[in-house]
Amino acid sequence: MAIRGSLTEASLPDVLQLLAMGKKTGCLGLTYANNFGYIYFADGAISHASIVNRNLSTEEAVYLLFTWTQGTFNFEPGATPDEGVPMHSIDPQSLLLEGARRVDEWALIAKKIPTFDIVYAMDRHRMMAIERELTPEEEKLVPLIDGQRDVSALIAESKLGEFVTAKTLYGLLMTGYMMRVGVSTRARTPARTDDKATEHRNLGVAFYKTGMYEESQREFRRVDALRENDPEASFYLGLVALRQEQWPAAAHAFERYVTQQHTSRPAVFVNLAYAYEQMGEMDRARAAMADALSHGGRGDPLVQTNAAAMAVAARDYETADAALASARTLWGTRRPPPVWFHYAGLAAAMVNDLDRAIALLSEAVQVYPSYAVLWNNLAVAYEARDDFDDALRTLERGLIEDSTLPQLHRNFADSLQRDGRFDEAREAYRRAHTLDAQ
Amino acid sequence: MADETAEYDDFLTDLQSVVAQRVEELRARQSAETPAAFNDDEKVVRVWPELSGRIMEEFR
Repeated sequence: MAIRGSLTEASLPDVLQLLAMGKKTGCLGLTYANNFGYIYFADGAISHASIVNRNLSTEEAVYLLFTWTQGTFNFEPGATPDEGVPMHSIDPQSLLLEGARRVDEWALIAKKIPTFDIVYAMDRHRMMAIERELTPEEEKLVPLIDGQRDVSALIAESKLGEFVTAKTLYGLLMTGYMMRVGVSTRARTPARTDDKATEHRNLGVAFYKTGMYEESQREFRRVDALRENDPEASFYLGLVALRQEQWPAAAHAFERYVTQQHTSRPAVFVNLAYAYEQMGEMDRARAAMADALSHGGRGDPLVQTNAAAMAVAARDYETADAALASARTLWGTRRPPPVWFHYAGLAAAMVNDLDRAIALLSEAVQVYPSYAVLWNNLAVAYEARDDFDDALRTLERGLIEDSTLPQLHRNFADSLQRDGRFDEAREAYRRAHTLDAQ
Repeated sequence: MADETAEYDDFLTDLQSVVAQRVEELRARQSAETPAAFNDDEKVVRVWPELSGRIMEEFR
């Protein structure tokens, strides 16, 4: 379940400590004015952090996020960073002290350097007059302070990071070595439409990945208004609509992509097929899935798995089996995701290949133990093979992992009744009924 | 080794062709031998519950 809140009510250090203590895995998204930052957690440690449209290291990003004392946060459990981003394992506690110190220093710095578009020049006479040795950071910055570069350029070119650059500039200002000569032309010129669209696009993607769908939709609508027929905007607007269970709106967004773009992407057709399926338009769903396969999806195991899911829904288990076999072959030595195991186990059980179903689902619960659905269907397969002891043990284990699935309680009740434990069975049926009603 | 690779590629291509062809004409090919429990929606979970498993969120 996502956790949302306001930074005025719960500060970032409080939230970080809570997530660290709970050994949480997921993504904490933070918004402040038009800015968005996120911190990924893996078992309570910070694995990656970033602020959209800013080039910062993980530590720098977290320190800067500490200065956001207004705005909102949203924690999306289970979310993981994109492949290829630098990964760490940082104890949030280790950043708190330095973070608090920086918050205090930023407050001072911001009074002198309120924006990053200010341009400074060195006062060489004053430097000559007051002889003092420059610090290593000043040594790096002084040659770059030329009355042309603004603070953003100094940060980028010195590679000292935002905080160290700003703190060093603050020191130079206070000693009188440096003076303000104006603001950069960049600040006086309105941002180019394309740059603005890219900024909104980056925000939209980040909002989407952290489960902030309304915010993501707002950003992609802005992209859409700035760049006509932007393919990614149509794609993400479709995804947001799927997440909001607005199936016709999702279908419309993906259809719009298909009619406007020449580059076919199987993901668009898979999502379109899902939207049609939810609308009960099975002929169109089948046609869209066929398009996904013919537009590069044949060699994609996720497309094949989705084709299998659709085949299972149509009770065409032969086709499902073929698609699942194809997907597993395409994954090679990589482990398929839990959804693949679900449909593979189900397709095998439906053609009465219970041994194969049990083997697949046993493998699944070993690698994905938190999925109650997998435990449930494994127990049903055991029961169908008259293996009642294993069924009962599997159900007990599944209920420890997740007790919110009504079928688990009902199957547990059946097992207890079979065992002559009638009072416990009655209680389990009652729980199943209560969960059904929710 | 080269033969094995070619054989594997052929197998995969055949499989993918079968899927591509059949997806357009999906029809119930339910086995008469389906265990009763797997036809009971009160016992079995048929639909994967997480949306992320059924859609593709990567723009590809």
